[in-house]
Amino acid sequence: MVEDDTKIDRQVDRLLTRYVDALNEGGKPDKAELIKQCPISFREEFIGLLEMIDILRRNRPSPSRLLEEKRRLHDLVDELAQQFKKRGSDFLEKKAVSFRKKELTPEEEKIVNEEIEKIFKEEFGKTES
Amino acid sequence: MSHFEFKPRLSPAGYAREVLHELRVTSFPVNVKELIRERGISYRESDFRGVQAFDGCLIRREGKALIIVNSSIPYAERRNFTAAHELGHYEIKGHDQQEYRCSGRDIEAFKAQKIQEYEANQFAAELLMPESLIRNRLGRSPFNLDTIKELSYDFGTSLTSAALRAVELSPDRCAVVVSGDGRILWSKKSESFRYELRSGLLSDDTYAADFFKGLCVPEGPQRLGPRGWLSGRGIPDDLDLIEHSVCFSNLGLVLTLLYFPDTEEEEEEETWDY
Repeated sequence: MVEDDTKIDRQVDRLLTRYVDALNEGGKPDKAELIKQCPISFREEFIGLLEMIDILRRNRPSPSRLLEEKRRLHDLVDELAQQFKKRGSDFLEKKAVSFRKKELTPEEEKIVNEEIEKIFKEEFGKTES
Repeated sequence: MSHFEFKPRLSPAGYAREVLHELRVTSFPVNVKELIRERGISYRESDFRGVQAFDGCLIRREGKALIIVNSSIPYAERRNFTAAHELGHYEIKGHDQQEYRCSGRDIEAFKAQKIQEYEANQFAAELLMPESLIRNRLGRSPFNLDTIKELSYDFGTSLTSAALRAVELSPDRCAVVVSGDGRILWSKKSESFRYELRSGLLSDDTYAADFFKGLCVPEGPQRLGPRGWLSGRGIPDDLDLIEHSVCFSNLGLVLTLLYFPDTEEEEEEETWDY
C-alpha cells in the first residue's frame, strides 16, 4: 500500500513537472491530457494543483516589483530589529532597578512611617511635623 | 552690596570628591557613618520590624537631618553603600526634597529612570571607590575576579559593586552580567567592549546556565566561544571569550565576569591593521 502511494506521488510529481516545464518553455501544455494520465484517485487534487500553478504564474511579480518588495522586507526587518533591541534595553533597564526588591505594601509603608517618626523624635525630640 | 557666590553644579562624582577633600579622607575603606556625622547629620540603623523592601532614607526637617539605614540588609557593604547613597541626596545640589525614602530598587538603579536616584548612586560609587584610585589599580592589574575581589576588600564594597565600578572604569574589553532564574537580569560592559551582549534566557553554551540546571559550575575562568554571551553581527566565530561565573546559592544569582584573553595582542593586531 505504501509502495503504491509512493508510486502515485512520483507519477503526479512527474506530470506536474512536465506541466511547469512546458509553461516555462513558453508552450501551452495540454491540461486535459495530463489529467487523463493522472491516477483517478488523485485526479481532483491534481486539478487543484494545476489551478494553483496557473494562479501563481498569473500573479508573478515583475523583477522590479520583486526588488522593491525585497527592499521593503529589508526595511521591515531592520525596523523590527531596532524595536527588539529597544525592548531588550528597556527590559534590562527595568530589571536593573527591580531585580532584588519588591514594592512596599501599604502595611509595610505604615511600619516604615512609624519607625521614621519614632527615630526622628528620639534623635531630635518633639517636632511640629 | 550683598555678596553672592555662584557655585556651578558639579557632577554627582564631583560632590563626592568635594566631601572626600573637605573631610581629608585619604584611607579606604571609607567609614561612611563617620563622614555622615562629620557633615552634621544624625545616623541611625533600624530593622523596620522586618520590612525588607526598604533600604534607607534621608529626612530633613527644620534644619535637622537624619539618615536611617535598614539594619536587616544582610551585608555590611550593602548598608555602607546605602548610607553613602543617602549622603548623596544630602550633598548633591538640586536634591531638595525633605525626604528621600529609598528602596533596593533605587539603590540598584545604576541605569535608573529616576535621575536623582541614579545621581545618588554615582555619588556613592565615587565616595566609596574614587575613580582615580580605581583607574590606577586597573592600570596595574588585569580585569579578572582576583582584581575585583581585591577592590571589593580594599574599598569595603560588595563584589557586585566592585565589578560594576571596574567595568565602568576599566580600559580592558570586559563586562559583568547578573543572572537569576536562568535569565540575564542585567549587564554592563566597558567602553571598549564593542559587541552586543545577549539578553533574556541564558544560553546553554554558558557556564552560568549550568548553575540553574543544578550542575556544577567550574570555579576558575573558562575559555569559550562567543555565541553563548554575545549577539548581533560581526562576531568572528573563532573569537575566544573568558567567562568566570560566581554563584551565590543563597541569593539564587550568578555574577559573571566576561573578558577576552590576550587583549593586548589583539589590540596590537588591530593597530597594525592599516
